[in-house]
Amino acid sequence: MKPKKITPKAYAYGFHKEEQSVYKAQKGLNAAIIDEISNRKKEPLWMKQFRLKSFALYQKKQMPSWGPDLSGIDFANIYYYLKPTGGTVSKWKNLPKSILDTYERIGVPEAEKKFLSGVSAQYESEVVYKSIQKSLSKKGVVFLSMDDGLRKRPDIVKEYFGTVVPPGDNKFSALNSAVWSGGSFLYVPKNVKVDLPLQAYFRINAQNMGQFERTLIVADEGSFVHYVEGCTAPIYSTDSLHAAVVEILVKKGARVRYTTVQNWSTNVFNLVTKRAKVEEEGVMEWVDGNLGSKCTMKYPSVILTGRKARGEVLSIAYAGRGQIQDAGAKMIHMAPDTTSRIISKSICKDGGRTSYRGLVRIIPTATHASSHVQCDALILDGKSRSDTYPYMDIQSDDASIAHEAAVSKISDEQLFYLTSRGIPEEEAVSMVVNGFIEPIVKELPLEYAVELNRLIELQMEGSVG
Amino acid sequence: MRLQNIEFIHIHEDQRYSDTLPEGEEKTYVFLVAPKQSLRAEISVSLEGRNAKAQLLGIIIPQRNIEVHLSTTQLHKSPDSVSVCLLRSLVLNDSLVSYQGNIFIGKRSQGSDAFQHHDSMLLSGHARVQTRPILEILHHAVSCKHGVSMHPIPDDVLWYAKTRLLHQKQIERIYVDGFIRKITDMIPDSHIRDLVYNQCRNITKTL
Repeated sequence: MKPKKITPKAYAYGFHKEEQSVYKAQKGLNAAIIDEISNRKKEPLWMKQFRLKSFALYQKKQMPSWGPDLSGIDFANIYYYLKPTGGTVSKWKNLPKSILDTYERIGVPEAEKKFLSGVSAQYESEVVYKSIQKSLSKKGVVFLSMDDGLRKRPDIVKEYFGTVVPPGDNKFSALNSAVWSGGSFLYVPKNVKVDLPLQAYFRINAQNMGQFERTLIVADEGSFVHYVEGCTAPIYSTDSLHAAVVEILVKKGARVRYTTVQNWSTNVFNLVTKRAKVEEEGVMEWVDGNLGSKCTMKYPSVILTGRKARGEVLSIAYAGRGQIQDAGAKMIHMAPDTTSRIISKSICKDGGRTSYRGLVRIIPTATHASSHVQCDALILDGKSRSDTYPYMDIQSDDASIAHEAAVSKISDEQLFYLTSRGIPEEEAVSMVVNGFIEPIVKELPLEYAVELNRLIELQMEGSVG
Repeated sequence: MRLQNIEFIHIHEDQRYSDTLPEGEEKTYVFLVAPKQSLRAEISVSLEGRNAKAQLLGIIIPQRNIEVHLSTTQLHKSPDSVSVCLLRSLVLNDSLVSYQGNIFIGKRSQGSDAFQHHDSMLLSGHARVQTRPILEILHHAVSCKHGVSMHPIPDDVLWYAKTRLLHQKQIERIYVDGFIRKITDMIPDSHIRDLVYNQCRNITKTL
């Protein structure tokens, strides 16, 4: 049986709408633009100073000397701030038609009705739609855009902003700290469990756009929340930049799950800093799916500061033609009896390149710590490449550490077994790939698991023939 | 000692060992590294022919406060070749075990399968282990895995045994015995199996 060659389907979210804005900064970045962003947002003086100090750091910081080639980013050719509407609305019908149409095509309003506690939708630089179930608001859950969070809960924002990811952490965290706009502010009070996920949706529409959202989540003692983010962009011939910062504080006994389904178009540089600080008996779980973008550098981190704190990263990366997925995780054990687990699965095909880059650090005070790292790679053809860079720095003498790595292709036996049962070869490849990523997909809410499987199947189309 | 398809290599000083396997040959290499002085050793097996299979089984027990630097190389030069390297280190006092595990899969080695695992048990707060897996894979149609673990005797094991009135030293001996047996039980030749096991027991008795 000769399999039929199928042309890969186009990126489903590559459409774009006519650009609309109530304000658009000029291309490039200088202190005057930062001043203008801060003035337009009517920010307190401390935030303006924070931005300007961060800008000075950004100018001093060098580009990373390791990892993928980022020389293609033309920082002078990027719009750093674009305000698409007059403000945030809480009803979809109040959005401009073109923006509403975008989100309807992506399916966000429908998802909100079916299975979400709240939704935040960011278009270019600003959050244009925000909603949360009334029952959660009554319990004290605060879910706002970061800009509104700064206005309405300055006490919490000032206490925690920039404490988990300081501006000087790296060049892109400094850039984000200087020009951040949008993102989510989420506060979950003590012992409140948010049963259904909260979702943030990020969309870049304009060409040469930079999106720099900033998210701060504070989960107070004994609380639970699941936050999901998704992202898409149109396909342009020029590159866009997404450099977000996510800071999460998990207080004593709290649990936060942060799920990302990243599906940027293949002209987006996705350079994100995500980090959580976990107190005693707290649990932080990052579930990270990286399917899109031209180049992703993302290493969700957990700093385990309290006794019996736990961190987990489950990560899937797919790299097709021209894509680089440089993903991984960091676990810093600073307290006794802390545990961590990293499971990373990557698939590369058509010359794509995936890398796992991870760090487990256990300092001497972290007695009886334990960590398990597993990174598996599936390489689907001879043009693609997968690398693993695990780094472990164990300074405690009673830690239990395990690391496993595997690289393989789809075996002929697997394909023979499936095709001999009448399954077309292309479908068989998809089945094996979905089985490979199943340990991570099963951790997603059902709707996202279905979506991720569907995306992987779309990417696999044309893999045979 | 060399029997058909199995070779025992006792390393107690600086040493380089290499071997090649032609088409279809299967061989097990058993090495015991239990020196009383610091050493550097290299073990290399080259799978030159199609369907060649190598199994490397190793135990490292530094007997004093010394440094042991060991490297193994699994060199796949031909299609459908298989190599497995399982290594266990028992580290006490101020000893250091530094292990580098190389797997090289060449351009014409489609269908090859390589596995490497290094388990370490640390019986002292000053014992150190370094593991550096280095994998260079030049063909995509292969399977390659490596793993590393390091741990002391788990607290729950200690607690369980102590509640059964065993002393710390007794518990250590039982646990160490089981740790070593995981390797020795895989040795296909009974004579070499008993030889390696008894040597390990004699060493661990005095530690």
